[in-house]
Amino acid sequence: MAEFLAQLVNGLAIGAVYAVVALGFVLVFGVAKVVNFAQGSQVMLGAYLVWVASGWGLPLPLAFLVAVAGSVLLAVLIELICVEWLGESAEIAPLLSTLAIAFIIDQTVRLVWSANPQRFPNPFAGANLRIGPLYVGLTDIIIIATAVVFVALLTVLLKATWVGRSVRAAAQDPVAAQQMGVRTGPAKVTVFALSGVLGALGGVLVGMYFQQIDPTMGLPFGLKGFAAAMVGGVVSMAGAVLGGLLIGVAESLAGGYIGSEYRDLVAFVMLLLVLVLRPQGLLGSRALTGLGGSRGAGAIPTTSPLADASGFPVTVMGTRRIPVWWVALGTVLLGVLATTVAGSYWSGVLAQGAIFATAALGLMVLTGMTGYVSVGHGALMGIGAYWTARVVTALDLPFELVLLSVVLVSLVAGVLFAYPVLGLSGHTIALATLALGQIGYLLFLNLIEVTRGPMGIGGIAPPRFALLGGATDFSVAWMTGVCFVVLLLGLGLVAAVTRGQVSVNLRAIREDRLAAEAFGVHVRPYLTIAFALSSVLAGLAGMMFAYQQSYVSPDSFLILVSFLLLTMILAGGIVSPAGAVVGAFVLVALPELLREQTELREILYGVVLILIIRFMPSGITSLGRRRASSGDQGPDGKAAAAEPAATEPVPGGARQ
Amino acid sequence: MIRVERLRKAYGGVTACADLTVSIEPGTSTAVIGPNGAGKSTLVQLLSGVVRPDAGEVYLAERRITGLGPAHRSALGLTRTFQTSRVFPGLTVLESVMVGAYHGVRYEDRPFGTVGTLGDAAASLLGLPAWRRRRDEARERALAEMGRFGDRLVPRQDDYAYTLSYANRRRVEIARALAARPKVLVLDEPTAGMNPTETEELARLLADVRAERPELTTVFVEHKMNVVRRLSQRVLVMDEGALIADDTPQQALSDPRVIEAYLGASAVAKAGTEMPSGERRQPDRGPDQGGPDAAGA
Ligand SMILES: Nc1ncnc2c1ncn2[C@@H]1O[C@H](COP(=O)(O)OP(=O)(O)O)[C@@H](O)[C@H]1O
Ligand SMILES: [Mg+2]
Repeated sequence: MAEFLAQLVNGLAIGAVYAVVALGFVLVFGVAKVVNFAQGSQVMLGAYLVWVASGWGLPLPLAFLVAVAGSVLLAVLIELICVEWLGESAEIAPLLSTLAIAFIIDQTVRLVWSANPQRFPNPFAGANLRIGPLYVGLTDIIIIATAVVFVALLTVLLKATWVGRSVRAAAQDPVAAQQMGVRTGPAKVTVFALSGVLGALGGVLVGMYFQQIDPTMGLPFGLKGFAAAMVGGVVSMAGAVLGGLLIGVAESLAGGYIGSEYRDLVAFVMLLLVLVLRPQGLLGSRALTGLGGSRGAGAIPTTSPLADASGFPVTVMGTRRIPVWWVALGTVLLGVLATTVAGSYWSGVLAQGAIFATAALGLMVLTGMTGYVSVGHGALMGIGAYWTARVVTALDLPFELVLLSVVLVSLVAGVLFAYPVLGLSGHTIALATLALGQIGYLLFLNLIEVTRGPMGIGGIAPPRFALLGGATDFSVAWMTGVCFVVLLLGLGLVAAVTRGQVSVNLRAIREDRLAAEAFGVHVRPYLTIAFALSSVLAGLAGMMFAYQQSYVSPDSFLILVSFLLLTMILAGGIVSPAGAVVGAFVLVALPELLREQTELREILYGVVLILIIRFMPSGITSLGRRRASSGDQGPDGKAAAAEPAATEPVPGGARQ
Repeated sequence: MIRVERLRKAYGGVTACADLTVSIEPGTSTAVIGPNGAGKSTLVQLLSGVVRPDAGEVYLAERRITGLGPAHRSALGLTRTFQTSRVFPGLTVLESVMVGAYHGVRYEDRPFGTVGTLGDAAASLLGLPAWRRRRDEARERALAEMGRFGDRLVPRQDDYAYTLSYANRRRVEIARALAARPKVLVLDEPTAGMNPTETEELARLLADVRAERPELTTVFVEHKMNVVRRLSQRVLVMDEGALIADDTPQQALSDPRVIEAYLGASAVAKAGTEMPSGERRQPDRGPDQGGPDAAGA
């Protein structure tokens, strides 16, 4: 019993931290309608700033103030970039850009203070408090008390001051608030600044709890904060607190009674259960699940996340319709070069390019065609890779059978991956897939019997073709050749998708899910098909990854990989097969120039992504093209599209 | 052909559909009129399955369809257009119309179901001959329906739908609906946003369609009374979610209760021919813009 109570208090302490992170997330989402994926990194940075300021000899409270200042500055900067500067871009712009900033922050911290964990100062470490028969850590009590005080302050701020009133007005009905003279711009900056304060607070509490900090801790804490917010229902502060505490306690109990390796999985599994069973969250109302798609009056009705604020589909902006067979031809040429004249170093680089191009094609089929942004494709790649590693090392299967089995396994994985996500909309899709990606990583890490955990699986023999009389070869050229052949297979699959009605139906779902459904598109099966095909391509890429590296380990399938794939399809042009392939080769080759510093490479990806969203929303393959001109004459085109009501008065009748 | 029984839907405190019971005969054309916020669009949403009722039943050809989603209803032959026309902005005009045409062809002789959908997708991926026939047939239908609008849509078949004018988007939506060859066609304010000439053109086109397909059952929401007179045999007048009149066009449009609903009691004496849209109502929320039910659909 005492043991249970101790676990409970411990769970409440870490839960209070999650609640703080979740609050930052809910505030920003409520007002700016943006999921701030950098929230976790803000927590991490907050912890580092406290650590640095303590290093100057400042006491903890003063160090905390320094961290608040830094964190608020950063949060406002994020707002300026992702909300103001990219405000006119596609719906997914803030999502992708906050994600990019998260990676930039993480890598910068790693660059400045090294990847090594640092000891976090905690003056209360080791002290216990005796309450009746129970010993509880003083740190836990202080964490809970601090969180309670701050949540109370925040509540007072929002309920009783004019700042709070304008923030709440902007959250409830931005249009009405604007008409009433509340400027929503400052309200957005305010909530981002508040999220900065909460980030610093989360950082100091996390640091005290674990007494150790490192640059990679942002993502898991951000994700758990998101999970807490979603479990609670995204839109209410009480929900965020409840969600945080629930996850903290569940995690602590699971760690204590089931095994510490399951501790991290608990939060994400809870999140998935909530998404499937009660997508509006425990305290949310059904009416608020439609997070995406509501745009201003006069906009073209659409549910596409790839459309800008007026409903204009950025996907078609200047898109060159490059036929798939051109891409195939280019691939063949590049493949020939890679296997003949390229030296073994560049041959290897091009093989990596082909592998990522295959995976990027998969992501294009899903995200480009249906608008479902997946930040978890790394896990799908990982499943293909681990499957390959196991069947090749244990059964020594020929390539043909490995390929076939990877396709089947990936189909199943894709359907399972789709299941919790199908009912969601808008940015919550990205969050759910991010959680799935992280679950995948944690499973690769912890299912030791299957994956050998952090050790990984090595000694994977190169592909052996039974149909070619068991032909195999240990040369780089052979491996590179197979990578290109698989990429061609992938292109064949993509050609089959883009040629037929499947593509039209998927894009109809992307453009307007409601209208697609009203005109007979069977939405759920079609989305499942898109996930499954996408997963097959990712799985094939994973298969070649395992062969080419001859070794797989969990670190190859971090969320970073999913993010890289997203950057690739955005860089190339999100809706075109040519874009996915070109984007993959360019982004694999580009950082070879900065080969020595991997941190710089990831910062580069982040910056590239943000610049592309701003300046080249339909990617490299549209270079040299301007926004497609209007095909209609007269008062038509974009002007009419943005404001039909103003251009066409209707005599004697209401138009709506 | 289509029948609703004690159909009920409330949004918070607003009753958008108040225990409505109506039966519509096959092959007829029925207009639904009423001031803004009367619940006309809500009725369309309930008929097409985009919004689920709080209570009551919907029957299509004596089959109970209350629990079915919009895709299933469209497969059974019920097609609707939206008040704020919802073309697929990032698809070409032909592709947009093909979405309607293809599913019209596909569900002509096959039932709606997950297995069928997966089979059809596989046939499309493999490019099987049966699928090619379906596609060619659908393409033909799509082009034929676009051809009804003269040179307004056909020359623009490869343009993205977002480049179209407001009136042309409406035409795309109507072509898409007709290409599905529905048994029941529900139109939500088909002429909204069109000038008198365009309105006249569309009314003539819809009259032609009715003459060509006498078995088609049409239900349309309309504010322009000349269109109502011309196209309907029966008029349902709604106010505050309830049916306040159900009559022939001539009778309904001179009914004092109807004029009162539109203009308030004082104006009953001097009713005009064109009915303004009831200024005393709150502005229309435009339920197809993606309200809560829309998102969940
Ligand atoms: N999604 C919705 N959410 C809340 N209220 C709605 C929604 N859709 C319609 N309403 C309300 O229901 C009533 C009827 O609306 P509607 O059916 O659009 O009227 P009409 O089409 O006759 O103008 C209006 O008061 C409207 O505000
Ligand atoms: Mg209406």
